[in-house]
Amino acid sequence: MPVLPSNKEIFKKGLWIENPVLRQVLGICSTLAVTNLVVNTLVMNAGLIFTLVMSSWTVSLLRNYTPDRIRMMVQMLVISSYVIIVDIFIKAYLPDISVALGPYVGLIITNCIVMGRCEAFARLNPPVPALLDGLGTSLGYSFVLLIIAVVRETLGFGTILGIQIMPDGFVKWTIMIMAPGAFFMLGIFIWIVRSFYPQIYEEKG
Amino acid sequence: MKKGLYSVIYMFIVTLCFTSVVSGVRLLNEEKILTNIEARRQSVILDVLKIKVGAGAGPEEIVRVFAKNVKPLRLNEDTIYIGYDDDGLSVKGYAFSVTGPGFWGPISSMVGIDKEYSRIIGINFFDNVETPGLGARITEDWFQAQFTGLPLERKDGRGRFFTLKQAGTRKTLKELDAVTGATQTSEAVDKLLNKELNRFVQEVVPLIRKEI
Repeated sequence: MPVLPSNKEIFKKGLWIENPVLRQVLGICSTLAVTNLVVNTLVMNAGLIFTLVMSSWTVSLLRNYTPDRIRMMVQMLVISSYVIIVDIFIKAYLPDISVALGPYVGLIITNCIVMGRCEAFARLNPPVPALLDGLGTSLGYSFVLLIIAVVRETLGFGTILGIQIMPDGFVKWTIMIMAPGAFFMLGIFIWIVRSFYPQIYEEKG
Repeated sequence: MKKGLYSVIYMFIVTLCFTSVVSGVRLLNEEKILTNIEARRQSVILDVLKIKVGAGAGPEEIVRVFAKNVKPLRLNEDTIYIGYDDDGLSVKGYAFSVTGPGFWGPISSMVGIDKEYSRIIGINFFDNVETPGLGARITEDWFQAQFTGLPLERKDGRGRFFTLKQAGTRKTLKELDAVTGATQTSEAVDKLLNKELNRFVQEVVPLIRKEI
């Protein structure tokens, strides 16, 4: 039996060592789609954090009762339920952001990070580590998205959270708010991180 | 066999629990969500008819003002919205929606016309998938505001109502500034609105006259 890593290690692993976007390159669809404005990214992040934490916790609670061969159906059901609840709340209380995010809130259901963590960690571990694993992983996803969004909004619109920060004569980089801008940013970001912290990646080999 | 039965019953119970919770949450928020959707659509109509809603008004206020000041009128395949002044008697103008191809996808707009069918009083491009920062700038206030006051008259009753020109080069009232760097979107808007305004003047106005 391998020894279960400490809670702190589990959290750190999700947040940084095995960061879902930088190391595993998961959840890219939403990374590309919602990072053109910081405010959209913040709402998306909140949605993902809630979904992943709650799903991991629930899947872990049910782990001893769920028959192995239907576990994926159960995981899907749990994840979808939480996502739909998030979607209902955004539609009811943040209607403008709901329109801006379009289908992407619903698509958290198919975000491979969520099911990945449920399948790889939560269904095999007790609720508290599962919850921390979900929290670490979702925060790891969130901070990467937020950095990309800050750069894209600054260069693409000259603003952050809608507040003008670039001088008046600033020429906006239109490509930054289009999908290719997200690809460039993500690629450059992963490149920088892996250049500065290569050992972590190579250890995993 | 016993294992299979357990799986089925287990899945059934888990599904029942989760769907009940989700349905409950939905039911509790149903009214608010529907109001938001309605308010979103109605605020566009109020905007082009220049019917004022208090600044920062919530969805409920928008729905209330709309119910008081606007009446829909169904004419064959079109729906026209008749805007009334605050006294509720005199007509302020008419609003109708125009949807057609943009550069990347459909552009939807709402157009407000005054009660004599002689001028545009407001326009709102409420839905598009044009390039952010370029074509999508047709939703910015300066672009939409140019249409306010545009006369709905043409030489010999034919031709164009307006032309979008490169920004800064317009000379007459019928020339409006295009969005710099968004030639395709500007051309699409020019073509779509000229065509649909023509249809409105030729086909819809006589129908409205007959109805009221």
